[in-house]
Amino acid sequence: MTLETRIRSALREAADTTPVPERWDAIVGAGARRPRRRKVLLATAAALAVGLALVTTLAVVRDSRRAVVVSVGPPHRAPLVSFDDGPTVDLGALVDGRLAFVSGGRLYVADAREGSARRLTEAGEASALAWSSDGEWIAFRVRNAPGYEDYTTWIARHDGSEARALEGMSGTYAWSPTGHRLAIASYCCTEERRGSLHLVDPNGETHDFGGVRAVAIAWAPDGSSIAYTSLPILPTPETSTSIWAVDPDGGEPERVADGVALIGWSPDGRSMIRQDMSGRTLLVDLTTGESHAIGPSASSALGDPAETFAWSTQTDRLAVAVSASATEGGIEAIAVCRSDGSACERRADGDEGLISRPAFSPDGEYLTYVRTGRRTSLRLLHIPSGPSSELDDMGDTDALAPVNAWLADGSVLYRRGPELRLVDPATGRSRRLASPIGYLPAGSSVDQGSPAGAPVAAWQLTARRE
Amino acid sequence: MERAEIDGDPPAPPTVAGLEDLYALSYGPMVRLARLLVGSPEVAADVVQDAFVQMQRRWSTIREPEAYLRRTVVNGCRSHHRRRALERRTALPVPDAITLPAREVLDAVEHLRYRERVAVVCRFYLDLPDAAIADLLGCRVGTVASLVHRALARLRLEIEP
Repeated sequence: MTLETRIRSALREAADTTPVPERWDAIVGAGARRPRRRKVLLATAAALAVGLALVTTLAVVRDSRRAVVVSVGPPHRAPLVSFDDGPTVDLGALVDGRLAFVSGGRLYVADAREGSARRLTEAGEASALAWSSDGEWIAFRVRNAPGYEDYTTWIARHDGSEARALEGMSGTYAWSPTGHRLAIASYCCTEERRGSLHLVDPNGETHDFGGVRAVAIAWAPDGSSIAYTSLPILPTPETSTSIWAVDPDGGEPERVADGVALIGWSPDGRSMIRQDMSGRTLLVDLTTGESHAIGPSASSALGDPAETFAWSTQTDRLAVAVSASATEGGIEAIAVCRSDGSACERRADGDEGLISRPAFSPDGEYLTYVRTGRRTSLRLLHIPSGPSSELDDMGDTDALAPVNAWLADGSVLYRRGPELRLVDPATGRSRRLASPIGYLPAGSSVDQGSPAGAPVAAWQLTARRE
Repeated sequence: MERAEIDGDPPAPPTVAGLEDLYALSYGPMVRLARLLVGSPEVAADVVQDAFVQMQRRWSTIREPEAYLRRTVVNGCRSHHRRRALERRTALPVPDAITLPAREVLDAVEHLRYRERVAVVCRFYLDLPDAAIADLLGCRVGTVASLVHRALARLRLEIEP
């Protein structure tokens, strides 16, 4: 009996022996206990919120040169923040004032300057939106039939023109950091095509790298290389997963290192973070091929790069969420290392819980991160000198991604509950930047790409010059 | 974003009767799924109960009830898992009715990290494709493959030393 068969059999046996109580009445009762007055209050609050949103939108459109949209998507997405008169912190569903989102399964692009939304697709259920780095193109996937996890990858210009399906290329994809070439690790269709790596130029040709068993991809920061994780069909101790890199302009793939998960490149393109079979996080020096282990053990959350590690702007430091001890997987510390993965120092903050979204200050001297335990807080660490301190309580973050991003002026953008706020780390003084004009909890019909209705908040606000 | 600016009709919300149907069809399977994720049948029943209560409150806004329910249950199990980690508890009860070989596998699954456990249960119990598991876990498809790969390697070491 194979391992897979044993697992299936055991899980089925455990499931079949699970007692299932009858509790329907309790659910109906829970609904019936809701007072009618609460519904009226909610309806009134919703009407007021819509009115406020209309006023805010009109105000923003009137001052369109300085309009900003800040949006936060599902937990696995990076915070999406873009300022007209400042640096772009990160790009995802939002590019250059345009926000792509899905409503009723259809793909829309909203223009913050015009204050309007345009529908790009007519049929199907769109999801997994990704803008090209130049904002000209958007990639998304469309479910082929309701209820089936079967998708086709599409690309279209931002205005909806030149939309076309990339037949036989369903999978995970990433745009090049320069220009607009789309790399796709396909899990589509047939066993022969599964794991193929495709490189699509919307204005040119498509290159296929077949048989590479690619399951995860990451572009080098300068776009000169694509790294991917190659995964054997049935893993055994003898068939180790490996990381490969290929020149997008041609050439044969080259093995970079053995490991399990490809996690990401350093900003200077000289190093790469990966995980080994035991879950340790390793830093690979691409010039020498040497690896350094980071921390005592890796965070269980690794695999979502934006959530678990960060490089300083100067690429001289690296911060990674690591397990605080070998036995307590749910308790994490932050490890700060040199860029080569050496001299890692684990900085425990005395609290219990998980760490996510580390971010370095522009000068690389400070680090902020989100600590989620019995409550969620934004913490500040002065790297040379010592222990971290709490900057603010982040309130009820529910399923929304926390925001933690340093701006060029040294302030930190974060989210406290539904509010978007700025805090000055030097003084600890915090001020509200904006309340959301739209806040859609999980299960709403509008999302930024997660087909299961992940929550989204969107703010429109005016950028301020200090 | 103003909903009023969006052209096109939104999908019709499901009916309350639909929730009852969903309950009749899904309550048992969801309890069994939750039991594989949290270990305890009692906790599993509570998690699924809470999920249905949550759905009942938001029913008019839910567009894909089955997917929403599955995600809510997995998230509820994760919350339990995190609380458990913080409370430094260890062993979960395994019913006596399970055979010894199955118990060995379940013990090994129990030692997996939560995301690995979800990936294994969803692939080998629910037979979900990687894209659906990625949606459940809120990660990339490639991450799912890695999670399953690593989980299988650990299970192999523990079950087939």
